[in-house]
Amino acid sequence: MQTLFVSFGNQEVAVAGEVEEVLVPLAHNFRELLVPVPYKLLDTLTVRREGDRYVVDGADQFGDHDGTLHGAMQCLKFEIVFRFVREHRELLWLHAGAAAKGGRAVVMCGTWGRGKSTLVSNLCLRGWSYLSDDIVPVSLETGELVPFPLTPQMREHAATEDDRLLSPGEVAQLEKRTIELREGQIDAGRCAIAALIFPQYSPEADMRLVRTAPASATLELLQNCLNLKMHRGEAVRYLGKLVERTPAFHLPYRHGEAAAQLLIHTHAQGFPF
Amino acid sequence: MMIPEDMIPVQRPDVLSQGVLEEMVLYDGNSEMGFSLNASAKAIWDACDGSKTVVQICEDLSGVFDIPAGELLVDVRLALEQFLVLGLIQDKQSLVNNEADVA
Repeated sequence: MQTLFVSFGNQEVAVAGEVEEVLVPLAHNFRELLVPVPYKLLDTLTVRREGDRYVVDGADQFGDHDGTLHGAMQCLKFEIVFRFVREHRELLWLHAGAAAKGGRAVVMCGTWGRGKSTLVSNLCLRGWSYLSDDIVPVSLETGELVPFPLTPQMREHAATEDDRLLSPGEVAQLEKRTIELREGQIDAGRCAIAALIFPQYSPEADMRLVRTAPASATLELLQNCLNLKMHRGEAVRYLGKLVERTPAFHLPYRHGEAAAQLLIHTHAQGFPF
Repeated sequence: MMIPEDMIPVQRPDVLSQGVLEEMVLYDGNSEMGFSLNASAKAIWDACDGSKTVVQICEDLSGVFDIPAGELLVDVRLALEQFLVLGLIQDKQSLVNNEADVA
């Protein structure tokens, strides 16, 4: 029986089992958050095979997955994350990615398929510090971003042989590849938020940074807040204040490299709009 | 739905509101839905304090926007109709009548 200990804030969620095809990629996805020995164990999840199906014991919110390998992986990822979400009420958890330069982070916020990972990966490939690929906790007390560095992954180049760009649905079918970061590129410290970006990948997009109206930006953050029900009014007030002091932009784009360059350039100027 | 001119709109108490610069975000804790209001809609929302009729709201906003109250009536009614449909406001008079029925 193999056991992985995923750690955040000196608290751990254990995943145990003998199903190598689940545990190996899971260890890869959480490799920056793994510890050899738990400090304070929150819970244990167990994964096993039952005929052709993969079963996760101990799952309470996402246990009714489809039994496939992919379903079990997704279930485990969400179950692990939501145990930390439940435990850390001092944080607002956003569905977002983040990268930083000079201690100032850009948060890419949005639902699946918006192109968050592509932007984060492209920024990291250009030397930015990596903070998070999918989940961004923000401190209610200090307003700082807390790193949650799931292993960064990016879908393979989204262009066809005839140079046609793929639709978001087609992109979703592409294999993800891990972005290899150099030593020290993963930022373990808390970080100030320089800008909020709401990306929108589309093969027809005309790339530009468009200032997002304050209430719309707040609403988008609320829609991507994983523990809104836990905080309700406090979350609404907090995210409204965050938007008041942080520039927010929509970023439609079709080429991740070009969009990253635009963010690098605008970040260097301090997002002057 | 036509909002009557003598209706006294009042914000529902379980709707959270947060000003964001000149705009506003509303969050309905019951439906768990959020709404964004631009500056004009925010002014109408702020006026729904349960003390003014629709006509009085238009008169108040007339001073703010420098537009005759009569010209504001259509837009104010439209906004209030949306607030009402979304369950963000209620008619204070019907609220009073319901309470009287219960008593």
